[in-house]
Amino acid sequence: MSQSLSNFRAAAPILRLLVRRDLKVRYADSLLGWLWSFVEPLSLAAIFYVVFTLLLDRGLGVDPYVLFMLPALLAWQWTAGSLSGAAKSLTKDKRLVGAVRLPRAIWPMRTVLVKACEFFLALPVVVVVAAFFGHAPGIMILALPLAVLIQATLLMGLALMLSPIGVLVTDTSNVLALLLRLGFYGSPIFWGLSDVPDRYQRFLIINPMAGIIDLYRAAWFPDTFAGWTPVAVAAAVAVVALVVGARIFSKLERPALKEL
Amino acid sequence: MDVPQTMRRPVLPGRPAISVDGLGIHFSKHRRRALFLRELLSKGKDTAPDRSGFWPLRDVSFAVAPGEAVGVVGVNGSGKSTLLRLIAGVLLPDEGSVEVNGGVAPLIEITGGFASELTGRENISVVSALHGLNKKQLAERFDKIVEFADIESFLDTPFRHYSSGMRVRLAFSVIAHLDEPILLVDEVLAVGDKRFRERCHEMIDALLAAGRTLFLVSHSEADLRRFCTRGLLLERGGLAADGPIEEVLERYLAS
Repeated sequence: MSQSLSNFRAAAPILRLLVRRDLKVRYADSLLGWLWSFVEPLSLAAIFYVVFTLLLDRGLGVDPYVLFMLPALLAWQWTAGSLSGAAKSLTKDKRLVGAVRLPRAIWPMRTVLVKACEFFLALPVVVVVAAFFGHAPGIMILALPLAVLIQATLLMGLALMLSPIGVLVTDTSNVLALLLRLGFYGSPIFWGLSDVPDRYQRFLIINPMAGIIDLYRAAWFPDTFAGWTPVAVAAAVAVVALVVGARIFSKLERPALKEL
Repeated sequence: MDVPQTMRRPVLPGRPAISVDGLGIHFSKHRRRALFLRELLSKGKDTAPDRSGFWPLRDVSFAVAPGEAVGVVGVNGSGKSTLLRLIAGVLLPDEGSVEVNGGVAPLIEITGGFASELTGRENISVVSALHGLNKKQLAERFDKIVEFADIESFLDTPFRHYSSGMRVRLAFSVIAHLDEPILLVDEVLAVGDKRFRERCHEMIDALLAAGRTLFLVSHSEADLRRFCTRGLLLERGGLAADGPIEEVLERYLAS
């Protein structure tokens, strides 16, 4: 374990390099380049504004609804992008994986980190939207790093689990797409945890994204915060996911490499 | 972007460059593996007596001294490339062990690290860093890499616009300019035009003269005779002969 930790420390510069390469590749040929990371969430916010605030009469969430929903949606996109990317992380770059001798765990980690960068690049849009509605953040904004930390731990663990399984079981991507769609509606994105009656809440918070999203949202809407229990559950699930994920990865990397 | 020294494997004096001991790897014959639960429950090694599987390599042991030039021969499917990938550390053995003293420069799948969206210049810096070269080292040899690959005028062109010959030339050039003491070469000498092949040969001669260890898989008798002093003959996944290259080649050609 300590050896693998020192391996990771040594691999950190490589990881940074790969993440930078991925971001570069993503924007290398486009005219707007890195501006796309703002344009996408901004257009999303505009669509929500029109559909959910101007057109529909919804009974969920609080106003300004765009601001209620956007941080949750961006956090979800980080999760969904990381997991679907992790399942393909070894296969997609199999020639690279087969050409360099690096700790193999960097391939799923790289996917999580690239999506994390895109998430951070999109965060200024949330501030712009808040300024547009004249909505000030509360003291809970100080808890944002905690939310990021829990989510990053969770995603690393799940990505480590998914990357060798994605090689060994071809159906992984399809199953994962279904689960992610389920998770999208099962996580408090369109709705808030406090919209749900207590007797259901306790099942919903088993989904670690519930506590994480609720914490992100509390920065802007302290009144909707459902308390620290969901956050604690999310943190516990995240730690378990990381430990189990690292074990699964170390056991399945050998057979997975043979299938590449 | 600097790679710390810990990433580079130190060379331990007085030890073989490559030592392979009782090496074996097991593959399942079916495309769809029945279950991987076995690996999950055991230590990750596939040791179960699997009737449907086969061993591309088994019970292979040998040691290569630093500075030695070893050629591997065998018919298709005898396990040559698998052996090379195990030594490169991109496959993990189910039995036995491979120990490599110092780093390897693998000329296997050499264009693997190159991104087609990025320019040649960007690719050189990324790939050389992936293989452990730091910024300063790259700056020192950047011009040599470009000159050897003969792509000066295409440096800022996206890699996808390169011809296949140019791609291989650039990839070979980057890997050949790494500092690693062990060079693993898998058939890459067969590609490229005559002029480039000759330059590759000169480069390998120079690297050998500088004391690098060479591990070459090839079907070309001329290449094997030219570079190697020792030969390994693989037959159906086992080591059938290990000796001076002439004798091993004779035996291979006679079989």
